[in-house]
Amino acid sequence: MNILRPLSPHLPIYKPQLTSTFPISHRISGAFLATIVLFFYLLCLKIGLICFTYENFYQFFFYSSKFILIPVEITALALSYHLYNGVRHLLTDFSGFPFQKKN
Amino acid sequence: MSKSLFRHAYERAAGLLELGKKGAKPTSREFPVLEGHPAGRRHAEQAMETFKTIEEKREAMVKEFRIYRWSPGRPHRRPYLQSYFLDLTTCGPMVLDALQKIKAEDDSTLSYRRSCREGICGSCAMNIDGTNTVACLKPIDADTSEPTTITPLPHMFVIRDLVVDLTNFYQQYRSIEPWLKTRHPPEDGREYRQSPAERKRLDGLYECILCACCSSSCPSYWWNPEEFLGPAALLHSYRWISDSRDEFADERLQALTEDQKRLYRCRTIKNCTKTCPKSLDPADAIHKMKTRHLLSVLVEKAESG
Repeated sequence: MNILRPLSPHLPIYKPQLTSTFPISHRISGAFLATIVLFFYLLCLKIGLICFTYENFYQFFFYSSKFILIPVEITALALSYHLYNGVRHLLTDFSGFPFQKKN
Repeated sequence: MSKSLFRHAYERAAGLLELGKKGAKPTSREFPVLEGHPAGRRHAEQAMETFKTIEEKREAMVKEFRIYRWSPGRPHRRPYLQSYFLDLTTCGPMVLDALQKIKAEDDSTLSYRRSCREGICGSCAMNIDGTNTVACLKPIDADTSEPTTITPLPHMFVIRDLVVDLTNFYQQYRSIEPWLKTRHPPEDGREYRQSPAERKRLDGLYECILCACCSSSCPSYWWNPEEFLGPAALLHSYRWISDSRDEFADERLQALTEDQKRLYRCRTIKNCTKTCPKSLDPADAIHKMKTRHLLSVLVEKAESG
């Protein structure tokens, strides 16, 4: 019998719970912050101020300077969430201290 | 009213005065088995009245169940959710009762595993309304405006309808060697003894019924089913490590932590603890094993270097 069995549904049907959404959003916010950091590293440290003498680049930078506030807000949200979740994670990880004292 | 008031009153009066025990009472159409027992017959008639009144006044509560279907007899047909409508007033309270009723009266081709109907065998584990539980312990949500969705355990190969292939799960349980391993024979030559305090350390670990609810709720287990052992096997592994009669605790832990995949694929997502139908805590057991291993690594480093 050579029947390919289907895989039962997992992500589409599983109820999003507090326990499961915290770690994945921690990971997503961490990845997002990493790309932001990389972007700013490339922009501020690597390119050099000469880039502003290029007209197109300067124009783009000038006109997007107002819109940039929205991604900045999102980044701030991601940063604070990542920070708080990281602290919560550390606290739960090290809450096993009473267990260690028994040993 | 099956009996008029007058007749009822006459019979009571006749009964009180004990007039013609054989003749005064009419031959009964109902309850021939209670002939000669007037009190019993009266009681049975009253019970029948009550039951008829309830039957007339009871309203049907129709609940929709959407159940995952797939048949290996028609493998090219994609899996789908089939709707069944069930009157909850005629059905037991648990989801397993609903499934039994659907299978008995509506569609006998519906397939699912079940055995004890009391939450101890772990056969009827499935995903009900998004979370994994055993169907015999999950009450039906009586809100008839929303359907209940029943699908098999997530990210498992489906054999048929709600029956999944648990071979990998059982192999992983076997791989942690769930038996007592000792080096020395027992002290008094009869049995390995254990104090009540030592036995208490097994509470919360031995009750696992291997229903696979926790392992199939873990996203880390979804993405690495072959390498990561899963919360159930790890819970049992911790049960044997913390058993005071077992003398191979360090070796067991070392076998788990040899590579990065068997234990350390756990990301403390804690879906397992949330979904366990027996209210056990696999995440806690895994965390304790990790702590124990990391501390032993630190101790080794301190001692050697």
